[in-house]
Amino acid sequence: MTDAPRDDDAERRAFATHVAEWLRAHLPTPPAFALPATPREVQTEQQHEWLRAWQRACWEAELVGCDVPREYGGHGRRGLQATASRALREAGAPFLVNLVALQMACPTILAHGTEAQKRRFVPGCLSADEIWCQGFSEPNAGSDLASVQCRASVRDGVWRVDGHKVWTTLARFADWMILLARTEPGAQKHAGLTYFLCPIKGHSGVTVRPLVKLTGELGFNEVLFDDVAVADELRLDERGRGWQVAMTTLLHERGAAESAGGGLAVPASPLDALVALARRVPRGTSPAIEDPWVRDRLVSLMLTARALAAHQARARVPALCDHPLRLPLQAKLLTTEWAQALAHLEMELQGAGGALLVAEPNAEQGGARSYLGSYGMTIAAGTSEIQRNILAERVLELPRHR
Amino acid sequence: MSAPTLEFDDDAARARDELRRLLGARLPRGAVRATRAPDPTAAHHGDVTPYDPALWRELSALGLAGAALPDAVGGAGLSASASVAIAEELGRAAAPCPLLSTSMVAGLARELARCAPSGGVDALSRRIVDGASATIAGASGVDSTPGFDALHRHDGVLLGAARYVADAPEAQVIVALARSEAGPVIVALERGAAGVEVIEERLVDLTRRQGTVRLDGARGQLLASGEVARRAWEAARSWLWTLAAADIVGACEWLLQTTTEYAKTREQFGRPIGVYQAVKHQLVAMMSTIDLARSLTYAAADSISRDAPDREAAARAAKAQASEAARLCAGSAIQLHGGIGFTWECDVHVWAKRALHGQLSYGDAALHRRELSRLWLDAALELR
Repeated sequence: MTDAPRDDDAERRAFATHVAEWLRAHLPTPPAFALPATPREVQTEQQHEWLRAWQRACWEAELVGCDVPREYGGHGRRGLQATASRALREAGAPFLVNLVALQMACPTILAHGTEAQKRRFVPGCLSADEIWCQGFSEPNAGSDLASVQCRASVRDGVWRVDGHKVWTTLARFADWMILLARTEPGAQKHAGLTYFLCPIKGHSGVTVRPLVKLTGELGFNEVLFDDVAVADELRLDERGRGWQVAMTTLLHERGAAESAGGGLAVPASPLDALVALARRVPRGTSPAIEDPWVRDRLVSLMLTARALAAHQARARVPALCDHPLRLPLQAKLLTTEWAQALAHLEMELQGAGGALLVAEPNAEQGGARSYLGSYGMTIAAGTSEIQRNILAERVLELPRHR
Repeated sequence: MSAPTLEFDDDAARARDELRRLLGARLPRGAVRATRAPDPTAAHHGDVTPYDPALWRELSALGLAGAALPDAVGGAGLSASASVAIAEELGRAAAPCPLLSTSMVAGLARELARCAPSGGVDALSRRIVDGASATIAGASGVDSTPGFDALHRHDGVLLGAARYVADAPEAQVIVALARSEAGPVIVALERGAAGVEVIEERLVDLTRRQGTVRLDGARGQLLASGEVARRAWEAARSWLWTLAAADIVGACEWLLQTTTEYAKTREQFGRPIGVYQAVKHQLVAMMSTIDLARSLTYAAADSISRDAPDREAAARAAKAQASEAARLCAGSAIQLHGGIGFTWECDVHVWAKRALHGQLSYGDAALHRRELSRLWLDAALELR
């Protein structure tokens, strides 16, 4: 019992074939140097340039920007990005390094930008010619994003920015930043913000300082603004509408909408690696895979992975979704907590070996450092607790705590 | 990997919406508790109220029992996801009727028609379409998923006792699974036939009935035997687990919505308790658990419709997750209602008991996860 074929099924099939064939022919062999696990961990220029070239190749092959109109550097298709993103993921392709551009800047500019802004900025997002970072969080504005203090005021027809942004992924490599700043100091907290596209690399008054994570790795940065000039043409949407624009960005960041620019390619099934580990390592006198407790936890993770895939399928059937945001707004919370549970089990299966640095002889991949690193996911982009508040207030319509 | 989209067509949505309207009209707020247990003390001692035959006639007239059966036997010819949506509504309304067990028999009839088509199978399907309620007997252990071990067939007659038979005191047709010299057999029995005795099993769940089926020389229509019987039954089990999961999902969604409403109106310390994050986060946990179960349940229906190789795993995954949802939602709904939630006069216990009954029937979460570990970790199958 299958549905009658839809009109665009032929196009979808042809596209899927193209993607599969291209990936078969062009999936790169890993370089001599180690690649980072995610865009957050890019450490060197060498890694960065290699990953940029990969994204550019994907864009030229029409695997990135599938659904973006041609005039903005996209490929003008409809509803095919998900197909390409899934194929990239399943092929175990390297991730797309211009993460902030694809997931946040590009959809936000497409939704709120002027025609000139779309033509100027979207192509560089897709091709990775211009790398983007996100300037939302501040030392005193994390979960409570609306209390952003970074200030922008007009002097001689030009905006001048002063402030301090933190947790800025990719800032060391970034050409541009999506920046949320306070422009109306007297206004109510949510009404006083404006959204800018701010130049970063080589721009006068901008200082980027790498932050060292609890794992000892670089990845995040803090960005200091000292009287930084930003032209009014770089303001996105109207003055005072920054909060609404930022909500568009967060909707995309948290997976509430299929990113128009591309998707985040994660390595193929980390579950496979975990099961392989359970077969390899002992627990007591027999392999861990034979331990009923280990088996139950492995199956629980597999079950949730299946359910998350089924969520995506169900989200496309409006008759099976009571509230349009109910599944999309759970995506970030569920996937990051799932990944954390996976990292935790991986560490535990390694036993005492899990406490070794990966550089130690005999150390397995992952271990305590990966597990600790997973807290980056459950804290960044709105902590799990904030996600639960948002779900309670927006989907269940419970009264706001503020 | 599940299909990129789920099958759920307009006919399925229409059947579900019609049922939702009907149950909303027949079972208004408070009606289930009032009609199922007018006297709490008597209910506590096990007084059982029969189902309302008028409601069953209405459900049957809508063609809901035969939703999954093919047009050729008078059924609606709908997808498995339509049956799932119907089961979900039954749970949401905590509907006291034999539709869930009859839908399970319809699923079995559909698999029999595929594996072992016969006049007897068609006759069973037609009886369901014509309004007979039906159930499956064969459970022996507390797992309660029927199997071929509890009953025995010898010289054409059935012997033995099957426990935990859903709706047995109501069902007009009992499909018995039994072992025999010829291997496993599936036999359709009339409830009133000689040698068929049903002993009521009194339940905590006020909204359903259940019984032990005792067979002593009963004769019925042989539907399948040997290898085809085993194959048909293995396929039919996916229907049981998936439909049971759907009923639980519906009941849990009622618990979530009702508790959410309560959290918006109940005030303590001068504010509605839904302001507090301790309450909000528990409600969101309920929602997430339900949604995982719901997605897995419709994915399982999809696997059944496509007769995918992973249909058993898909159905077990749905029942495992739905059972987790039942455990969490029944407990949290009572807890978040506070003192009133601990009383008989509050409706929460009616749905909590239905959810818990569902959790404990046809295998709980840990049992299905154990079986999934066999399928996923021991066999060289695709993992996701």
